[in-house]
Amino acid sequence: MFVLIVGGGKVGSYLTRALVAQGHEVVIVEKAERKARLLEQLLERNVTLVGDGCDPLVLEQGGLKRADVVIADTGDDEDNLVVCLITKKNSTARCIARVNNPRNKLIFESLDEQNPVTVISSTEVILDAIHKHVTSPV
Amino acid sequence: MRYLIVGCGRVGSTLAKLLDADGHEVIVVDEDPNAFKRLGQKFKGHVVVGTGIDYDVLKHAGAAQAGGFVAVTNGDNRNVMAALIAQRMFHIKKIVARIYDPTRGMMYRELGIDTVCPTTTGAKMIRDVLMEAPWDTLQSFDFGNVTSLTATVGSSDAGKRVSDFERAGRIRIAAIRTGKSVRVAANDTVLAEGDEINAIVAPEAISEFAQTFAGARIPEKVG
Repeated sequence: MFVLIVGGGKVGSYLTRALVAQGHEVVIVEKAERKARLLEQLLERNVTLVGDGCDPLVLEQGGLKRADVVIADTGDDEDNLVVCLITKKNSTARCIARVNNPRNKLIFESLDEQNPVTVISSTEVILDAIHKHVTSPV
Repeated sequence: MRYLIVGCGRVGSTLAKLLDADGHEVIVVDEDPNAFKRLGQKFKGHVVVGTGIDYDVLKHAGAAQAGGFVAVTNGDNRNVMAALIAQRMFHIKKIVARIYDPTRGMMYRELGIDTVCPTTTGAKMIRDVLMEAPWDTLQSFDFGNVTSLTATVGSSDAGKRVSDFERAGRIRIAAIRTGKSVRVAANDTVLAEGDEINAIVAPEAISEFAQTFAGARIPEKVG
């Protein structure tokens, strides 16, 4: 499988490492050159592309057209939303996005009703865990 | 009409003051409370501190009752996201987002969001001034509070005179373009269907002008 990841932060770098270890082809787009170089050293592989992942040309260069999965995992919801918009417009790849504000989930899901974006909100996951902990019988 | 403006920078604050002067209810949202200083003492609208890409902030600002929504923060991505929240969660009728990147601006227009691209518009205006193109130079003519607007004469107004449209101290028709020729308007000039008029309009008369000419638009149109 070919996975295109936007955002070379902690989540992006661990994801890349795990996916590469599982034998998948990965390209990771990161804006900050320094961060991208560090990632390459860590992964010992040339899988990073330095550029703005919210730019359609950069995503195309990263292989958007032939991607099976696109993961938008920058720390900013607005940037992840734009990655999803460009993906939905230019490819048939499955789209996975990270959101910080759980309220924003609806917006991501509304982009494509037939083939919705998979939205992951860590805030919501933690809230659920707390809720389960509080409500579970002792 | 209630208008919600996200981003109180130069454009956001200027637009807020214009709409406020025209008698509209204006609410401005910005993350930085210092940004509201740009609105000046005369501004009668409301301000809300917070991010424009948050449902709760927009709800608190009164987005549910807004007739128009404008996203003019300094980030293209924020502007499109705020516009999508306004469109899909608050069902606001008229939504405008400023997008500096022309390619993405076109893409967002397909989503039903009107986009204004200052990059293209600005470059065209500079070219027009550089090349001394008479009409476009006139269009960008804008001094202080008074705005220069253009509109096309519809079939129902054909045959009327320039003086029929003018309002003393508020609306003055300056020039008329028929095809490629431009002439200075006289009181008794008869207008024909399809003529493009250029008028100098006071802020409190913009709504009146827009009603008279349904096709009226501000000269800095989407390029």
